[in-house]
Amino acid sequence: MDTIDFKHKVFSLSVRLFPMVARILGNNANAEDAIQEIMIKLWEKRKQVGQHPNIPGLVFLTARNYCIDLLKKKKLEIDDSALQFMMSESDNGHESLEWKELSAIVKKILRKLPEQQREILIMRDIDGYEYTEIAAATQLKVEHIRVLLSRARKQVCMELEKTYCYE
Amino acid sequence: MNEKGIEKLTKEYEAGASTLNEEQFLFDNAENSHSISEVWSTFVKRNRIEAPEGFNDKLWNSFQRRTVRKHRFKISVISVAASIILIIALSIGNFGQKELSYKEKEALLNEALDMFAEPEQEIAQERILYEDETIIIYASLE
Repeated sequence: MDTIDFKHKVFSLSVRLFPMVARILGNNANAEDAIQEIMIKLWEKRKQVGQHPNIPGLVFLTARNYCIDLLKKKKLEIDDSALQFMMSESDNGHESLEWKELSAIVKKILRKLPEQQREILIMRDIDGYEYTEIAAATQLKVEHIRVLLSRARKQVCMELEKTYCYE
Repeated sequence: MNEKGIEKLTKEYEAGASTLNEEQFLFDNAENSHSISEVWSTFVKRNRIEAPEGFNDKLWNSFQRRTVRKHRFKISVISVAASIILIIALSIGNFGQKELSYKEKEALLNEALDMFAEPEQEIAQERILYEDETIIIYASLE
């Protein structure tokens, strides 16, 4: 695989990796550095990468594993990595308070979900990944992902309905 | 889209059978359609992370700089290693050279002395005509 091939087939996926890497690492600047490191790792193994039958899948899997390793090295809590969200600040103080409350409720519901379901739900609804990309990163089959996603969505909707009906 | 359409999409969403575009449509219209939880849709929209503008180009430039630097460093290391190996090989070659025996040295010395043999003979063939403390007069045989 030469430089041009690498740029088109592998490096072009950097933008797609960004949401997942930024969410796992909880920081945009860290995400940039991490993606560069991931790309250098893949460049060093470009011969094997070029022969791989599913290059995007390999790139997503490498990125996810790299982030998990990084968290392990920094001894951060891996279970909560899927819940690292960038809190968007609002100009309106009242809205911000309301948003914080809403966010806390949703996070609590997400924490209750089984780990796989939670990760898949976040990857699909928040990060906006295709089923094939999620399958590559999690090493699960697309059909299995659809089932887990369906369960997670139903659970979240049900919990939210319950919470807001009681209020 | 009418209510039936949205209802169908919502069912597909819950079954994990909708496309990303359909899901986006549901999130965008959650307030009006009450199809999926407004809270969930707000949470999703507020937590979306997008790569900064020109991210790929910026990262590519930085990536290329790093890979070129690494490549140069590799070449430097290889050059230094090759030079060291060459120097070691030459020194080993010099140390291992055979020292000459006395006979060989003698033969070489004689060969060198032979080069000066002719002028000495020439001097010997000259006859002394007169000799005192300050002067010697030779006469050539030719």
